[in-house]
Amino acid sequence: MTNDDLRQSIAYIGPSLALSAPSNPGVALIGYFASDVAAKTIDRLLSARGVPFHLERPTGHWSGTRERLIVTVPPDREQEAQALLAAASDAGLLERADGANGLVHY
Amino acid sequence: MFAKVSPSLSRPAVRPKADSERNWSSRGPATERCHAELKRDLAPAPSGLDFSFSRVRVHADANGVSSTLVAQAARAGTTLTSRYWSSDATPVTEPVYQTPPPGVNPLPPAPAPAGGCATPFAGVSFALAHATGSSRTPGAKFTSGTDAARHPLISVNAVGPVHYTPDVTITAPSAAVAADFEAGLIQNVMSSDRRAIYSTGVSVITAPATPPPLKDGAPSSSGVNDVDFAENGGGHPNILGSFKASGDTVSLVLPDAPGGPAWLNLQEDPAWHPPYADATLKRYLQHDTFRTWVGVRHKPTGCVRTIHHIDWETNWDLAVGTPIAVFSPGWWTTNTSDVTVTNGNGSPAYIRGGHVPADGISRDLK
Repeated sequence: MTNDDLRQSIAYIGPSLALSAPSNPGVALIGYFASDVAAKTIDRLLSARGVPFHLERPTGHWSGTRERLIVTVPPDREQEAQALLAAASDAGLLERADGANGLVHY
Repeated sequence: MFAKVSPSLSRPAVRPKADSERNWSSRGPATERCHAELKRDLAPAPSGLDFSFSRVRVHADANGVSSTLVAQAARAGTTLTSRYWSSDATPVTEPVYQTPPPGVNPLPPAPAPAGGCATPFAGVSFALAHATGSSRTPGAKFTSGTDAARHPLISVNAVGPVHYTPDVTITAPSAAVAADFEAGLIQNVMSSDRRAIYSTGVSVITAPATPPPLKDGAPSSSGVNDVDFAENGGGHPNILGSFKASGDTVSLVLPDAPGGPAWLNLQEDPAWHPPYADATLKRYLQHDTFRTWVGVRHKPTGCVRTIHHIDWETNWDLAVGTPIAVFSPGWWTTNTSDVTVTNGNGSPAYIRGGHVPADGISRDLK
């Protein structure tokens, strides 16, 4: 994944491949902080590459840390999607989150 | 739980100082630094030295991560204990847990105005409708996933809140009097038991940094924290609303959907690096108990009356089968979110102010 590839994907104008429910089976990518920009970036990146996905932004709890996005993709596209989002993170387009940060809620 | 020191780590033995503390100011992941230092100091003599981390705590605030490791070493019948602490100010790639701000927890009851709190409520009444709480089954869903470093984990979260949607209608002598009142939801965490149990018997325990019971709701840093109610009206809808006239109804909706994660392999959890042995997740359980009240507050005096409550709890227990990477709904042994007091009269006292869980979460390895 080159920076040019990323730029092209970010500039993608076309139908979103966002699903209304997670694919089953599906693998969730839970490594990126939530924001409107992040949601839009992921939508464009995955749609441009033809990866169907479901994006959830959890609500309904109180958190002292930033929320994470839950991006669910079919298992056979997980590796590709993960690489794509990692490249976007390396390029400063997404904010990566590791560990339990943003996942524990009361 | 003991992990054998690798022979490759053998160095001239450095006897750890009992209860010593060490500080580092250099940059780098704090926990890794702790482990490296522990290995250096505990890596022993040719005869070998068994050691264990009896307690590990990782937390962080806006300034970075702090880790505290308490290690016990046993050799030749001698038990030594060392405590290591480190911090760094780099952006963290480990779990971040906010350190609760200093403060009194809980706050004392609000001082009553001259004449007491009975006076503001004189001639004003509140009627409830749809206040009976009800359970939710299934209570939770698990998500099988990976973090950005491709560590496989599960995230167990409420499917939705238990059902609690009370309507509060005010009867007051005038619109001006009614406008002095607001109604909202107050919530306390009464207890918490969240455990990820691994094949070696080790558990990762997640809990509020301030032990329950404690107030629940928006954290102090959120801008929507309220000393009595779960929020001040600026966050989720239908948690706190004002009356404008006699006969007005404030509709309340409990939004709370708690949850938490567990890594499939203990070594994959970024908080707990080796020397922990390979250990696979065998069980995840989450049993939290909550009490939620309907409260009405006289805004000029801050006097609060609670007029209804429910008790509810999460009863989620997941026995992880094999293959571990392919989760099955059949692994749920218990999966309900239960309202155990559906129609309480609001009489139990609530914890006012102080820390909420979202101010600080701790994760301990035991």
